Amino acid sequence: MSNGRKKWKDITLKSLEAQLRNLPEPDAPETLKAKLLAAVPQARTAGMPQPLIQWFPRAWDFGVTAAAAALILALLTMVNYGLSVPAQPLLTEFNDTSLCYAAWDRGNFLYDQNNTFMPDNNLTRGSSPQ
Amino acid sequence: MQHRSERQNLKGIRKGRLEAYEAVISQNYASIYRFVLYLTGDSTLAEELTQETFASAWAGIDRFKGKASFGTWLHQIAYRKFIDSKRRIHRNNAFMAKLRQETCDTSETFDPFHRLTADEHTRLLYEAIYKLDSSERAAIVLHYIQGLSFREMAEVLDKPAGTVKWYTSRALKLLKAHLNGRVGP
Repeated sequence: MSNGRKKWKDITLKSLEAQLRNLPEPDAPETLKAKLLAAVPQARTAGMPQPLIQWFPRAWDFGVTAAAAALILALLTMVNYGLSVPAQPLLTEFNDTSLCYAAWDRGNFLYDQNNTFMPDNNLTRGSSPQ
Repeated sequence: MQHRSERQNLKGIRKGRLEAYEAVISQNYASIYRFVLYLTGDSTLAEELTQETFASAWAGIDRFKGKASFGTWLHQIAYRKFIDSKRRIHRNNAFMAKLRQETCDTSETFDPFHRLTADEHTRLLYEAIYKLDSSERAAIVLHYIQGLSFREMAEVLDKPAGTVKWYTSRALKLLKAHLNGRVGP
């Protein structure tokens, strides 16, 4: 039995583990790193222009955003200046004269914010104080 | 700290920065080469597989989610490359032939293999490693030589961590049996 084989004969698992951990590490060939670097896919350095195909989606996004902004601006302009909307009074005249008290007490009725106005029963029957 | 620089490198790779590629290659290529060399026992094939591993990593960089470290992910790719190459070509026997040749021929050659098998003691251990099947060999190399944890090994071998632990322990016992001469070649 050779010397090397004798050494392994009664090796324990612990000792074998230690031997495995201390196995000599093979050196990687020096040319390998250069080969790997040469195979890097289309590496770009910072600051180099990107290909046109990468710009296209950005240009498309920019165009859509610009079009949307222009549309909003046009609508706002039309609403504020372009459309002739007839001036509407804030309060519509209360022209209904079917109830005679309404014409007489219109002011009280409209401005009775505390809800204190009590219609006069006499007036509802058609007698106007005027 | 290392994790942080790894993340920065990955960001750089995704942006196509050459310096990020260079950093990742420098950090990992020797380890991947060593792993594949131990698996194949063939320095030329190991070099080819290392190159294929990195090429696949660059091509699939978007699939890397950062669940494991980049090094572990590269080991996983390298292991798959090894399995594929084993299916493709049957070069396993070349190692044994090379070993036999080296015991007779002591001339200095540039071959990492030569250094590994320089003394008989180491040569016998290496020979015993090669008597294991490829997955047992991978477990031994990943855990004891590459220093990966069982969790990382589980990622590489695509098996549960418990199974990997049991597998490594069994492979170690088998290796011991080979060294004791209790298992036939």
